[in-house]
Amino acid sequence: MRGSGANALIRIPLHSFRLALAAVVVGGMTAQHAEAQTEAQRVVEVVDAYHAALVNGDSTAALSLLSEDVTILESGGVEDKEHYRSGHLAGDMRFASAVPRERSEIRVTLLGDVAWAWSTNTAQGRMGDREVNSRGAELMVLTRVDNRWMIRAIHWSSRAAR
Amino acid sequence: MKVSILNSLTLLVLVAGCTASAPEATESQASATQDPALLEAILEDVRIGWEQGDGTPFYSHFLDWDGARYFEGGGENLGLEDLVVNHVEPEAELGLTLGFSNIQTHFEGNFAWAVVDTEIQLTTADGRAIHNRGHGTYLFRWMDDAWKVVHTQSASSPVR
Repeated sequence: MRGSGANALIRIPLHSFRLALAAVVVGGMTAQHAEAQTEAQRVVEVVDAYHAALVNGDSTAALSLLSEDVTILESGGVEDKEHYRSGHLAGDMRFASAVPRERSEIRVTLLGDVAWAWSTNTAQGRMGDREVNSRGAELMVLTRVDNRWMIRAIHWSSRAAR
Repeated sequence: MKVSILNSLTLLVLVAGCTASAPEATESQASATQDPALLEAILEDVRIGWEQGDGTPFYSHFLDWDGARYFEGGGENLGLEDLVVNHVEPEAELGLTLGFSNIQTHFEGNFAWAVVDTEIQLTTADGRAIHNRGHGTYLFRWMDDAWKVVHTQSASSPVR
């Protein structure tokens, strides 16, 4: 009986083994790909939430997405969180609510608990008595801590549209 | 015996397959050297490359990956060759001098980023003198026992 069982194992066709093998490998890759897509989407949601907070003038929501050691580069200056809170944040919120912005798709690259997201944009409108017509780029570095993505660095750059 | 060989082969292929599908896991096994001096040395090579219009340090230190983008002031270069041929080389011909200072480095496992203060001087083809100060952000990934630049962004404004 035992020998019969062993024979039964031997008789499993090789192609069945290959199919099973392929299913396991492909399944693993698919699961990994799906997980990466989910995480990339979560990163995009953080970036979107940050911009929504600026447009809505919600400084609390905006600051809650920035890590304590965040570095923000814009308009030739560098700010940490405290300086940004008392510095450019108010101006960024005014600008975001006054000047419509069209943004490209956000490209996210994941590397474990780190992600970077970049996009390009055009901004056209009026800010006070100033006409704005610019195109720019945004880079954010985010890290995942306790399953939450936080913004660690932002770099905005722009130039007048030609 | 046949079962044993088959099982061994199956195990081997499974392990190989799982490894192939998780390159990041493989890379993470070789831990990155989190030494700011390594990033600073790369930035110095890159700075000299900009001034001399020499693509060598870019091809050496940048990861030429599908999807690489390099942004400056809202403009962008798509891929390494575009950066070197259409940005680095022409700008050096304008007598570019480039200064990097106050380099701040940050490490997160096999990823790092550096923020630098920049100072740029050149004379445009139509004779306009440019003197700007600004900042650059360089993103790095640890690969094959070295830090590789995977993304850059910089912006500057005229010195008043």
